[in-house]
Amino acid sequence: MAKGRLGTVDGLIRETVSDIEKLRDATLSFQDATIVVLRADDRSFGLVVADVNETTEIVVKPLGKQLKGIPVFAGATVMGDGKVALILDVLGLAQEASVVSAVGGERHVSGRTSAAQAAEEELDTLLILGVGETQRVAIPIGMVARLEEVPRRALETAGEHEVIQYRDSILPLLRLSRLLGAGGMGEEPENLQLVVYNDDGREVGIVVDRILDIVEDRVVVEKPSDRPGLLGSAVIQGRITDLLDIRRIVRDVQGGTPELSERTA
Amino acid sequence: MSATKQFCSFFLEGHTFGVEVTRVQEVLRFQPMTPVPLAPEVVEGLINLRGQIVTAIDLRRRLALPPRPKGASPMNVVVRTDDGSVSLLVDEIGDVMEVAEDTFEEPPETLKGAARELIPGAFKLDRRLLLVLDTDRVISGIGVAAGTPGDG
Repeated sequence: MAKGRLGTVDGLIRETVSDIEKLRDATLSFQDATIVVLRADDRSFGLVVADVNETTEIVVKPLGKQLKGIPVFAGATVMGDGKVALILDVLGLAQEASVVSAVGGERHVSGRTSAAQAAEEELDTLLILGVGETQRVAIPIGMVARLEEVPRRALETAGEHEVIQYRDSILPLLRLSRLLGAGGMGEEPENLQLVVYNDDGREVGIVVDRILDIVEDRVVVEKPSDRPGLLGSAVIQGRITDLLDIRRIVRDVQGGTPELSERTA
Repeated sequence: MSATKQFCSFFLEGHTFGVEVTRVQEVLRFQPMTPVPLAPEVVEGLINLRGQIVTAIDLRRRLALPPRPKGASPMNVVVRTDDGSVSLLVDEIGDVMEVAEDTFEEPPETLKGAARELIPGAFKLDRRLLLVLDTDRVISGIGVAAGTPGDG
């Protein structure tokens, strides 16, 4: 115990009582557990939490230099009540808890992700989109940040470009059907399908007629294209699909676009 | 009259410290903090500064000073860095002091260990010393790898 330390008997008793209380609280916490089931690296695991509050949309802000290296956090956000909340990095959490193997470590055979398998068998993961009446086009999923649906009335114009207000900044829009010279679908729908594409940090929203599917398939370019914006055609899932040179398309258009995607400060 | 410099002063454990005013974004009273588990000990938590999330550093811990008395509410000195703003938690905020550059002297002998590396010197005031804080060193020495106060 506290040998050689000066203290009152009172103080010693208070310390002991506080230790006992801590022990008691620790054991009680396992009687009624709320578990959030998470998934990382194709493994499921349960996170024991005190309470689940709500599901909400938030804006992720990065943590400062002093905290960036902590693997279990992906960032932080300001909640509706003004308090700061930390955002957990599910994969980091799983790795810290040794639920999945650490980055760079040996992968167990059963723990292989479908992405790893796809890479091994040389499959590509593609987002298949519908343009016009019947045309199908594909974009590698790796370049896609997010898929969104926005109401048509959210569209605004900045100069000659269509934009929407999106997550703290202005997102420039490109209409894929217009870019490919395909006819529109006739009547414009209530909601627009957007593929949010991230080009080196700047985001662009690509308006498409239909989001069809996400597929894994081996892509063999059957017919290289001389049309700008297309890499060629391939048969994907049994259908002829045009492969978009999305990077080129976005860059060509952005060449004329002012700095619309800069964050509003 | 020699050149002068302006310092934003604050108090910690009875000592008066100063940070150059040009480095200070703002000072404010106690702000509720969100603690960050697994963070280096000197990181007390995160504060919400008009939507900006700012890391708050316990300057007492960073300077290896004794801990704050229970119930004390620290104030915030928010400084600008290359990587965004960081808040330094202090006991009390003082006035902006204008000091003559030629009154700068080496830190007192009594200053030892961690504090000595972070305090390049002091300016002589009326009856006390204004200890100059090396802001960059204070902040750059914190990281998940470094962790403990006095590192770097």
